[in-house]
Amino acid sequence: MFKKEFANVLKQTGWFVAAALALPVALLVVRLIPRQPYFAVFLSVFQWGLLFWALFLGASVLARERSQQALEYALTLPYSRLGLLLRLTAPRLIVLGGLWALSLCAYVLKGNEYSAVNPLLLAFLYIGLFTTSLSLSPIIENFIALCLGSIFVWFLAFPAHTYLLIAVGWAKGFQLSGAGARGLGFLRDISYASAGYIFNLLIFQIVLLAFPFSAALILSFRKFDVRPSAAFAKKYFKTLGLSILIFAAAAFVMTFLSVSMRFRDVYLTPDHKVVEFHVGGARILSPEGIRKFKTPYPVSWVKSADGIHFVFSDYGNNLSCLDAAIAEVRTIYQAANRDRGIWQFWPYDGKVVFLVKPDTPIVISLANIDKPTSAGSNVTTIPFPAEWAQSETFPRLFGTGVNDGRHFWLFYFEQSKKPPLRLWENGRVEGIPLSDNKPIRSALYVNDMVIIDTAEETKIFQDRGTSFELVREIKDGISFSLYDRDARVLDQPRAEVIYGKHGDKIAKLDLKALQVTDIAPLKTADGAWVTSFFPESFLLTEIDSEAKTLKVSSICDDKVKLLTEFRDFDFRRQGDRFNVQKSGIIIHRKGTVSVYAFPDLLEIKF
Amino acid sequence: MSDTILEARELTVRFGRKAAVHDVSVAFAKGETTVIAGSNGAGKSTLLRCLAGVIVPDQGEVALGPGLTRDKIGFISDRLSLYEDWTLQEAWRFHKNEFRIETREMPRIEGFELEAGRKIKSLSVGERTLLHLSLLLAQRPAVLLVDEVVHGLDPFLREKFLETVIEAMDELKTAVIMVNHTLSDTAQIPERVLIMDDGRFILDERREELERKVKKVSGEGDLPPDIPCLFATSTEFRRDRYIYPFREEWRRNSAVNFEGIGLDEIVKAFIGGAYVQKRVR
Amino acid sequence: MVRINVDLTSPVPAYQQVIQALKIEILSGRLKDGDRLLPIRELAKILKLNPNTVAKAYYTLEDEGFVESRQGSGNWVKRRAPDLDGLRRSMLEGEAKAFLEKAFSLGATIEDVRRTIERIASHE
Repeated sequence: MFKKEFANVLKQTGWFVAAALALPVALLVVRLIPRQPYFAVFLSVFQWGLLFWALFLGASVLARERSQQALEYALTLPYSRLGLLLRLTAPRLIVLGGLWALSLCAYVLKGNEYSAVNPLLLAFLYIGLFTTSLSLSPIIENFIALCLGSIFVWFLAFPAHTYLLIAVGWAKGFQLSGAGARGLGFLRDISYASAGYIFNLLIFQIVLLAFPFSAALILSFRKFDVRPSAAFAKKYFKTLGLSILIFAAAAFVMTFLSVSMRFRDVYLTPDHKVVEFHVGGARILSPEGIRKFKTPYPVSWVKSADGIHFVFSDYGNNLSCLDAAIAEVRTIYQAANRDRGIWQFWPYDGKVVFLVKPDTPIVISLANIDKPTSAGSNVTTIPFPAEWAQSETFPRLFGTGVNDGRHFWLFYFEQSKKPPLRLWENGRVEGIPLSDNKPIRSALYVNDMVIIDTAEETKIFQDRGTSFELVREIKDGISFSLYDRDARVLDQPRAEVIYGKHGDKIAKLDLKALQVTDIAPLKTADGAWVTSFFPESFLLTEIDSEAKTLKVSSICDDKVKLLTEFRDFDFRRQGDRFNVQKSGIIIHRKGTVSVYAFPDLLEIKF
Repeated sequence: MSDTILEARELTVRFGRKAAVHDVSVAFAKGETTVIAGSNGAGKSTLLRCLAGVIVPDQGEVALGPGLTRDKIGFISDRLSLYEDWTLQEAWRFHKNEFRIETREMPRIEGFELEAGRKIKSLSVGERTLLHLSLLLAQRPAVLLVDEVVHGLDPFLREKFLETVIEAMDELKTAVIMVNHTLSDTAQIPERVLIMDDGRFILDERREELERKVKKVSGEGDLPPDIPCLFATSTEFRRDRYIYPFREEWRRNSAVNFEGIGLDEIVKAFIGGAYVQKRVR
Repeated sequence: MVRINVDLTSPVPAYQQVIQALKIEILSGRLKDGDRLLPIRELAKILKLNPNTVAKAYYTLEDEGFVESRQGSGNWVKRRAPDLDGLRRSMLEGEAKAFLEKAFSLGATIEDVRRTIERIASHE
């Protein structure tokens, strides 16, 4: 039986493969899709077509017996019902597995060149759909009804998963009623971010779907016979209902445990208190003890204003501030309705600039961190002018200042052809004349100059009061860069010298002479960043993946001095990362967090 | 019984709410030939299918006697279940593999030859029946379950079918359980008669006993009151009374003419009378 | 060819009828000493009887001395015949009794029977 069934399934699969080979030709010839190499189209067709084939393989398990009137004969063969089920199912699983393996090979060999989906993820979908249709086939005799029914049930797994996440969020103590669609999205994001795509697919395709349907099939098939479904169906659905309950409970527990509530954002205050944020709130650790704060809405993004004030956005679309000095949380801004969210924000100098999405045109809002308010009534908004107002790309604030009593903000647009601009508080806009369309890697505002690095050259523009003028172009094929995206370089800073990376060397940019001079070579190729807290200090951090070390050095007086070296730090390991702050360095290593304070970089423990 | 080869224990099978087979228990002995007769919808085919393993009873179980395995049970019905797209050769090879049959060639029925390359769906009903029978006999079955196939065969095939079954009974000592509507020329084959009505057995007797115990009285005329009348028919032209259980002394004591009747008519009388003589335990 | 007809409606059991018929064949000489009887299976096939029925008949014949069964080769008419005359006489009586029973059940009298027999016999 097994061999016959296997031969039969292979024969049918031949049709699928032939169709998968032929369809891309048709699509390309008729120009239904843009010109691409044949293999790219084939890979997509094959991967997604395999989803339908998985459905068919599952649904056809009894099809031959039914269509050829051989069901009674099959039931008299000398093995148990489960034996029969196994012999019919195994060839299908093998063929499905084989086809999947083929797609995996194709992906590994060539898929990175094309936008193919990772077969590992699709495997879960194949299994989910296959087991659903397999399980329903003894119940539903009509093949079309079976296919449609299976697809429908399979789709139900998606909202079922969402409701599961909602339940987990509720169990974790989150308030979701005001959170709107974004709040529900939070749980999915959090789950995906903390546990990964694979875990979530495992939950809603395997645990919620494949397991209960398989269990129902296996446990009830013993009772399968030629009678029209009623008696068998009752047993099947009872078993299915029970299995779904059990596995849903298991999925709940698994997801609950997986949603990481570990402290992911850790900060060191100047007075050596440790402030930790996680999705449910924050806590302050000090020698006196631990102060905990629970936020009603899950925390989405945190930024340190000055090491004492921590501004954070949440999925309830609020912007709040934790004042570590007085251990208080204040709401700075509350979105008027659920569908708007805090898109980006930058705290500086007692204020915070933020953008709300989906505001079109883009409007920047300004609020005071310090003024106690719960309603966010002191928010001022300034609209971007029309041509820059489309939010197709990310605006990034890179500098602020005051000229003649008027505030201004400098933005560049990531990965966009739009040049950077200066926005005045009266709404006036000046473009910074960056003529070419190369993407901006970073931009800096210092000494009334805008320094922009575009991967191959560095351009320096002088602020002339109402416009910017290009005064220097350093075009030696590499740019001088300072990896720094946080709020530290706002507040109209002044410095004499900036240290940064210039290709594979440490260099300094003399801000008077506007010259770049190399001062030391970079030894490691893996990753090196120059972080600045100018004008006070410049730090160089270097990662060595082979030796698994993180080295921190200071750059001062044109010299690089090693401060300390951290061992057993594997950047490639999930969860290992480091964070350089003004007061110290935070290291996440193998799941634990260590805090080291400047200037000696001694570890702080509580 | 020590030589029970197949036993049904308290079987109940429901179709929807109605029980087609209701709490039926029966045991079959090695080599025993049984006919199960009854009205339409009495549950005969359902019972047979339970014995064959095609239907799973809602309650009760079918127990295989010592030494009997599933591959030694053969089941053939008028549903003619075989993979239609196959050729005879393929069907034989499949059957051979599944049932671990050792003979290389499919056993032939004398006088009945079919080309190995013909597809099963191209065969007539009779040809398929005989083909299926020869497949089953290759298993050297200890139990043969036959459901209503005989009456659908033309006289030639019918003869071949019965001869083949008889041969199996003699050579393999196969226990044969046949479900039949009408018995006609098969009446002498069974040793045991089971009659089903409404999901239950209303009779379980040896055929010879039954032939002895059931007599017919035709025509008008009164019957002595203490003679048990199983069933009476009355039309414009005739009046028949069926007597069960019959005792020989009545022949002497009265002037009534008690006729012996064949199994067909006996079964008819029972079904007509729906006489519940005893529940088969 | 052995002439056996099994009457399904007769009160006489099938195996008895087989026995009777075979005895007649043997006594009449149509089945001679040393002749082989049809194998059980063949006879059963022809008569549409259960082989057990035929087997029972053969065993009974063996018991009564008409037939001997040889291992592996079937059933044979026995060489040494038993008291054939006495047997013939008792068989005749048995047949006559059965015939008379039937005749009386049809409502015939002894006179009717005698006249009928004489009439038929004179035509034989």
